[in-house]
Amino acid sequence: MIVLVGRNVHADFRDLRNLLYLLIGSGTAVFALGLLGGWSLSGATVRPIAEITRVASDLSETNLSDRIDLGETDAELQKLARTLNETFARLQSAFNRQVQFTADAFHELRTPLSVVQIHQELALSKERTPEEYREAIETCQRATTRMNALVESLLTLARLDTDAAPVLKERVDIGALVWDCVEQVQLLADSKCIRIETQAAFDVYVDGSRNQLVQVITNLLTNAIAYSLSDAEVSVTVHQQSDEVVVSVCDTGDGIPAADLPHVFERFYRVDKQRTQDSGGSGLGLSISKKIMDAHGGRIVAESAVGEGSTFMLTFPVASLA
Amino acid sequence: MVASQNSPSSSSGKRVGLLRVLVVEDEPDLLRGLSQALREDGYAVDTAADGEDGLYKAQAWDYDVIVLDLMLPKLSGIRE
Repeated sequence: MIVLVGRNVHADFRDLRNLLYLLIGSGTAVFALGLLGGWSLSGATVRPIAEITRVASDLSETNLSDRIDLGETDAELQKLARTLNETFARLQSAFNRQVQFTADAFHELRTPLSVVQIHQELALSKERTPEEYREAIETCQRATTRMNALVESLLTLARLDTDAAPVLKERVDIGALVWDCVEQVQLLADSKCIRIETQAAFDVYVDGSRNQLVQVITNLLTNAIAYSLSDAEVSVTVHQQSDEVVVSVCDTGDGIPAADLPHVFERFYRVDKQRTQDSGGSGLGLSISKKIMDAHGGRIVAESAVGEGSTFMLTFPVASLA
Repeated sequence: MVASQNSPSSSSGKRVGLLRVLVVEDEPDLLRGLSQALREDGYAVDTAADGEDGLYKAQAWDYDVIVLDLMLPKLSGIRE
């Protein structure tokens, strides 16, 4: 016997279709929501990076003042922005210093060049006496000597800046070296009747480049002589303090005002323009000395009191026992 | 360098001899060269080697032209 049971499935199909619509609808809504959420989330992450990219790519030699401003954002990104901003600021100040240095260098070179030009023109403008020609040539010679010294200093600085000439480390008897330097400047000291009082023991060694150390010490001695009055005394000492060697050069000149003291190692910094010119310095000697001391792992420090004089101290690590 | 002229004199050769020039320059060789060149061109030249002396002379005398260096000791050539 066959029993055939029938039921109207129309309602089931309708329910199933409704379910299908519901699934499609909710699926689309979830997908759209996800898309929206993802977009805004990734936007919040990417936007600060886009800002960083924009500022970094806008930086150029004519615009170094732009800084990254992220507003309210993730702490890690804030830290990154702060680090980059600090780097940009350092870059800007280094660049500004370089621009100022170049301008100063050209100004310093232009003055002796003008001297040569005007005295040559004068000498050639009409018939002169032999004495007048001699005087013109001597003036031009002074100017070219000054230019030569300046160019030499600029080259030394450039070499020290690029590290093209690494410090040749040798064991140097700094005491003996100081005596040599004093001997080198003796004539200059004699011309101003200045006594150089030297207290330097032999057999005190530092690691370094002999030529560069001679340059630093003669520079300090020449400055001390230039800024001392006639008949004054300049004293030089070398002594060892535990694992350091200290060389000090002390004069009894006018001294350096406290406001100028922190700047004396800056390139072309002049405490008194007139006096620097009288002394014939290039305005770069102390900058070169500082560079050399840095390369030697040492320090150079200036102490001064107006009216009493100045002391420049070089501190080196004692040479390792070889 | 800055030049100022405050006397409406003619620029004919005869008048040039009467023009008074003050040269303010701290580099001695340049000061000497400039003032010699101006003297040989017929100007009456006074010199000053720093800003203070330059200002004093400029106020004390009536110059037709002042040739002024800008970077000077004691008192700069630029007044802010």
